[in-house]
Amino acid sequence: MSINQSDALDSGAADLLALMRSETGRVVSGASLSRELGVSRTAVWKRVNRLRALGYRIESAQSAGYRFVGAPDTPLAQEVQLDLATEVIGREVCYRPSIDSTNVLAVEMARNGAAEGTVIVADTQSRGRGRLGRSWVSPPGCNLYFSVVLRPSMVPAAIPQITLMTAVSLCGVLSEAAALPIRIKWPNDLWVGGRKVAGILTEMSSEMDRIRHVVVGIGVNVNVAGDGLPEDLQRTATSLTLETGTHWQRVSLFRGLLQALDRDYASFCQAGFAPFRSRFIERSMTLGRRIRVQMPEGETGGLALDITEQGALRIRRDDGSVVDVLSGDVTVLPEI
Amino acid sequence: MNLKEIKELIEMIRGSEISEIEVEREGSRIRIRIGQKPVVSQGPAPLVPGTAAGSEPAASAAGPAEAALPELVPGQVVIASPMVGTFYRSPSPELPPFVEVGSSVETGQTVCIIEAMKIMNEIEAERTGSVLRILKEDKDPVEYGEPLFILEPLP
Repeated sequence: MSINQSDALDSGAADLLALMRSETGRVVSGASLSRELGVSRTAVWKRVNRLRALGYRIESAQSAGYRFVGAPDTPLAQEVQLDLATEVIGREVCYRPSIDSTNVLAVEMARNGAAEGTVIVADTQSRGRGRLGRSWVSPPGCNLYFSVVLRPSMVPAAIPQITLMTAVSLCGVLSEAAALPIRIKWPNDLWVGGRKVAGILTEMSSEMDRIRHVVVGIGVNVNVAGDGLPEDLQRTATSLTLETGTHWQRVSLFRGLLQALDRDYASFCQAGFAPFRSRFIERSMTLGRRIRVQMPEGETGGLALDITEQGALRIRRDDGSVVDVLSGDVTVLPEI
Repeated sequence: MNLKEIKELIEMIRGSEISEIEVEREGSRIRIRIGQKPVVSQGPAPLVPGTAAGSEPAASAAGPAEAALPELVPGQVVIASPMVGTFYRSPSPELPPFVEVGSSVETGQTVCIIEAMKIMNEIEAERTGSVLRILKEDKDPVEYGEPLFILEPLP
């Protein structure tokens, strides 16, 4: 694809990386690298420096050669795609060290014909987006911010369920990996211990009966420390590290998320929302609780009863009436 | 006719099948039209703004909404909502609307957003034209198939 991949590896550096990775921990002489790759020792040295600039740890042993010590825990395309077991999602990965918003680039690439499953991932976002112009705080070097381009052949009305499917998928991977009781706040946030740990922002473009593209944007607070968050978020946001006291490998976590999403998306395309509905209900932090819903045109509230087959939130209001909520910000009220 | 009487008139219309009424009295004339007929709930659960009809399947099962279809002059084009949701005229509250009446739009240009379950669906014009009418207000709930804009196609 002819996209401007600012941090993509050129084929020369990629060849060197593959070769050195296979000799991890051992010293390989410049001469033998130069022979294997069919380039001069100066060219080898230049490629080594390109890899170092991306964060690869390569030691030089004066006259003996180079020693590959390790890859950075940065979601570089070649790191994410190493042993990535997916059919569709992540076959194309575009990494940016810094970006305004992965969703913005994903939408732009989708408009220009990016293939289904294309993933855009960034180390930091300057204008990470939430819903309706709200922001997603995205400090560098610690978390995961990515967007996936999808092109499902289904009616536009079914697409909101993709958000719920994604929430179920993320929740499964994160709670298993970190052994945390992560819960889904309808429809698009993951919470643990009363704080938000991940969020989903889905955008789409459709005609009446045809979807042009869907972009699912995901932000996961992985390793951000408490002081890495703005003060006003410290009471409402958390990270895997803050909850577990452990540092998490971003790249392998990311691979796990993409693999689960790949499986779950395939199953969603085939069987629809039904199999995810029960999983969503199981992991919901909203159901059975008293909630307040701020809707575009006013506020309502009541007891959260169920998730409908369409994915709407069914509530019983205090006057006994039962309504299905499609849009609105839900606040789960403290238990009395 | 005083304000109180007008209010009473509006209340009367709200509670009836009438969507428009014109009253003339003592030289003054008033016409009241209820812009959007309330959509009648089909299930045991009533409909409130921002919600779909109770335990009945979402409106998509019932086919496109037929209510309030404006009269079209041949050649004019309707942009309708592909899903139940909330109509947004601008990308975020502090930004200007995507289009106004009189704006010309290109094929593929975003004219509004429909949101449901936090999915932002950018609705694009399917042809080049100029916006003749905008049929919904910002943040209005919309049904599947409900007309949103009328375009006058440009050659």
